[in-house]
Amino acid sequence: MPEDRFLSFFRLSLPAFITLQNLIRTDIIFQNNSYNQQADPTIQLACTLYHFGQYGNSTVRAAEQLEIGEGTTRLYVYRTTIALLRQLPHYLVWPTKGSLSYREMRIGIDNSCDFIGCVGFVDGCDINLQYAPSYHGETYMNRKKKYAINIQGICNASRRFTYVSSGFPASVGDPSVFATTNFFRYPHLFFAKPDEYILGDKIYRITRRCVTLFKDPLGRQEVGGYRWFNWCHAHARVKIEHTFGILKNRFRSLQCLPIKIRSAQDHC
Amino acid sequence: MACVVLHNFCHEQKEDETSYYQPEAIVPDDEDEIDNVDQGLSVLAERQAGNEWRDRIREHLYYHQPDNC
Repeated sequence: MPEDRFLSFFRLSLPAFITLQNLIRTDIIFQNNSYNQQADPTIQLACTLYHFGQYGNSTVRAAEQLEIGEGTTRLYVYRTTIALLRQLPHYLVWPTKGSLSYREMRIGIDNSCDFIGCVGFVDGCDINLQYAPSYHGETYMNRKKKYAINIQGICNASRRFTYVSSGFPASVGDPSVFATTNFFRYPHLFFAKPDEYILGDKIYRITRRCVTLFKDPLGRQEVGGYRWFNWCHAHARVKIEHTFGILKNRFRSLQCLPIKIRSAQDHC
Repeated sequence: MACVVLHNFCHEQKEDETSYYQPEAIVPDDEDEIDNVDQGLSVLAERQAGNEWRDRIREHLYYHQPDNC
């Protein structure tokens, strides 16, 4: 298969795909005690990536492409998702205070914008659901009249997520969700120095560690550098918007997640 | 979350930063920098501290603002 076609199908380059399958193929979820062996983890990973990369209910399309049953497709996606989530501590972690990667994170932002001491950009994003949840469905309705789940993300200068929190229905506002995160509640666990902070948009609650925009009418003042501050702030903070954009366009199932929430367990 | 893992994985592959999140030695910071800004404050005090901090950043940016802006 040509490389561009492979990328289009599985949303990863071939070398990245090979690295990833080597990473997760030894996971215990791909082993069973049955006489009937599971399909090769490579097939299961390919099926999952195809599923993640397609908009809407792609289970049928993935099943047709790979000539397997729809139920099997769901099983593959479930197993691979579990295996990927076990890699979460390696690929989604806030750098340890004082470590080289922490300093690199700060220097990266210092070099990319005028905010000295900034270590990240925070924003919220709604992951739309394809089906109306039957479990407290009204709480999932967001301001755009769509059923969705709210996620809060913090990224660094190179548009990599360093902290993500999810689990709230979309009717809960970004500041309320962010206020429940460990990042907000225990900032001393995340920040190494007193002059460090993150940038958030004006909807967030301003604190010593979360610097937001000046709201109107202060933000419209010509004198005093308020507008200049807001301009620099928006210019720097656009990275988190880019990060969410890259994430949702690479894995298009996030634009309309084909899951049905019928109970608290489904929500989790 | 699995997609976020994949996103970061792709990012790491792209940048070829395989040692980015490997365990590494911690470099101790300066001892005199005691972080007391995260002490438990009330909501109003926290907001006040945030506003003061933001004003300091604004003044710094204003001072370093290019002339053509």
